Amino acid sequence: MKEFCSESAVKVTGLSKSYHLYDSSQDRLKEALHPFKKKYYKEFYALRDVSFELPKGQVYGIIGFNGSGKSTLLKIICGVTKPTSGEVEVRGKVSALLELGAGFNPEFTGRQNVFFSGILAGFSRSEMKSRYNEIIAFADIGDFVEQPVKSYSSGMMMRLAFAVAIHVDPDILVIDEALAVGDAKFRHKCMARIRVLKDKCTILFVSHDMNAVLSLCDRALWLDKGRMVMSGEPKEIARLYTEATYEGTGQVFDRQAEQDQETLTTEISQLSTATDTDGNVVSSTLLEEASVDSFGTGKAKIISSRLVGVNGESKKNVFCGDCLNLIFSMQLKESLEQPIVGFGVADRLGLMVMGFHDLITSDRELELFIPGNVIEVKYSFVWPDLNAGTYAFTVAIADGIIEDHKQEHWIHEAFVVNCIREKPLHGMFGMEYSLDFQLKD
Amino acid sequence: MIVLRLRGLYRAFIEFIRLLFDRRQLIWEMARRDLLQRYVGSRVGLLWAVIHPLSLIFIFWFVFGFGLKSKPVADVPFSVWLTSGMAAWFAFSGIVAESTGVIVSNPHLIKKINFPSQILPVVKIVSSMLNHLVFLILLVILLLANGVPITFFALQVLYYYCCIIVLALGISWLTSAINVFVRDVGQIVQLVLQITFWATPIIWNIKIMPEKVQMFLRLNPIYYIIRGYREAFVYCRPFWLDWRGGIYFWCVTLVLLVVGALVFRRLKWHFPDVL
Repeated sequence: MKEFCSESAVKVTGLSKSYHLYDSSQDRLKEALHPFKKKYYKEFYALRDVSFELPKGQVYGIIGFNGSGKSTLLKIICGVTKPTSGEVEVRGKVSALLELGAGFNPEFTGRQNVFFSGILAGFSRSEMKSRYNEIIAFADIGDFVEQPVKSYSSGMMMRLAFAVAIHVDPDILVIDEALAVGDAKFRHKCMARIRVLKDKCTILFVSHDMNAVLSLCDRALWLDKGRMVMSGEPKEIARLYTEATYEGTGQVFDRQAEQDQETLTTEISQLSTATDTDGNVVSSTLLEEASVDSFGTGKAKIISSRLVGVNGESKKNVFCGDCLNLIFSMQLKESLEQPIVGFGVADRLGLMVMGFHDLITSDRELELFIPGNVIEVKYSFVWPDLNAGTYAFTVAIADGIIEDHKQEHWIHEAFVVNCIREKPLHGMFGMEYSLDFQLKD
Repeated sequence: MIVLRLRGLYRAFIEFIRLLFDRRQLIWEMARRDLLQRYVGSRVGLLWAVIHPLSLIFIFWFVFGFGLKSKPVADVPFSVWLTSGMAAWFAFSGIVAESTGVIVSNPHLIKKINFPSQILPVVKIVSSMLNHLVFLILLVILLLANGVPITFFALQVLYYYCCIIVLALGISWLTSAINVFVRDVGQIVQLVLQITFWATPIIWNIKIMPEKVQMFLRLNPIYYIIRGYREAFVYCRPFWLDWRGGIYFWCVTLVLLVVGALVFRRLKWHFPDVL
């Protein structure tokens, strides 16, 4: 067994792939046939010096942003294209799910394509006949098997392609992002099957779904602009990768927040001049223009909101048990009778998972609520055991009592954080529990 | 240096033969599908494979035999003489014309999976065999109908068919590979085939030309095949009598085959990037 494991299924050494960008395909032809190898191209590196070794029976996750060279790497491993330099050693039969319906002829029916793919993989017609029912049962696309593949939805195509790919006894299974188009149920089925296949074959898996990578992969590789950023433990990589992901989008959020702030501050100055006549009306219309997702009477404005860790560092990724501070500041324009602050956390479907609001009753705090003041509100809490996914924070300031109040300013989904959890949950919340069995007599 | 080159070629050749053997099921399946795709769905299906050659023979016989009153050649009716030559020509031109677009029309195989694209012209050769068989059956019917005896020399058609395959394969590798980069090749091939059809003594007898022009016409390797088919069915002459022509043909054909194979092999890795 040990000997078996120590053998590598895929070994990639110093792999580079440069694409030659030509002005026309004639130039490409001229160069390929040129006796003195004249150069006609501009070079573009899709992969640069990538090396890794994948032992048999492991699941290797490859992650990276679009255009990072993931697909090129898989194509080279599958033998579709040649690397410019470096070596690839692949031991065993590769079955690839590179793109939707790879190798399927759109004009032929699902049944014909299944047989064809099987023969392509080196099986005979009769061998495919014995597997056919199993494949169709797994794909579960009903009567569509007798229809030309071109009439398939991308989901159906993926179902059939995946079903074929896993039923041709591959030694190495290569799965590109294709799985992403399946519905949740089928994706689940695929994941379950991949877990079973893990014992028999080596799997290369490209995904943007960090939770899938975390739960499936033994090791992971992070590519960016054709270079290896890091390779190793999926957990560590997933954490850093998601952080990098939100750095990109996080900036967008920050910029949006800045924009909102700008419009808000200008509004405030405008309001102070316009209040003499009809403050409330003016403010509400102005606010509607400022942002669809924020509303309120405008007696107070939330000018910034953010989530930080205990050391004040900005948090985009949160884990269960993280100590967090939600800080938002607001500018008061008019005095409030009975201020209420609150925030809510909604999941990606918009369902409010948690929501809190608090009356400000102590005199010391109420003293702060004087027009013109900028007040910073800080909620400190421990992140609960929520399911993995993105969560949006909504912050608000209101006036009144809990049962009956007016929103002064409510910013819907002011910012988004990503919750990372190693094992996805069935449901929203996790909890600590134990499991026990006893013989009952 | 040259020895090394030759050894490399020999190895590549053995590799190719092994590939053909290993993937025979795949080739067979693809050829079957090629025919299915062509005929299934049409009303009369496989009958088209008969209608096409039949109408061609009829038109040429009507124009040249009936209209222009071409004389019987070598004591057989013009239609028989014509059909034996046309069978060879359409076998050759069919493979070349079909193969030229064979890479371009299979991007799903070239781009997405590790596919041995050099077998695609072979697939076309296999699928074109049905057409050729129909042509030969029509020819036999014509021979019988006209009371022309069929001799053992007719078996020589197998040798000449091999000539067709090797010549067409070399050209097909060349045209199909270049067609990926320059799509005009498809049109050019059609045009060249048209011109070659008229320039080769297929529907006209080489004897009508002056001796000097005849020498020139014999340089066309396709003429060797056309004449071979006629020798098999009409003249009943063994193929070794024209050994000089045979050597010349195989020299030209093997050079074309090697050039086609080398060009294809060199361009093959660019296919996924260009398609």
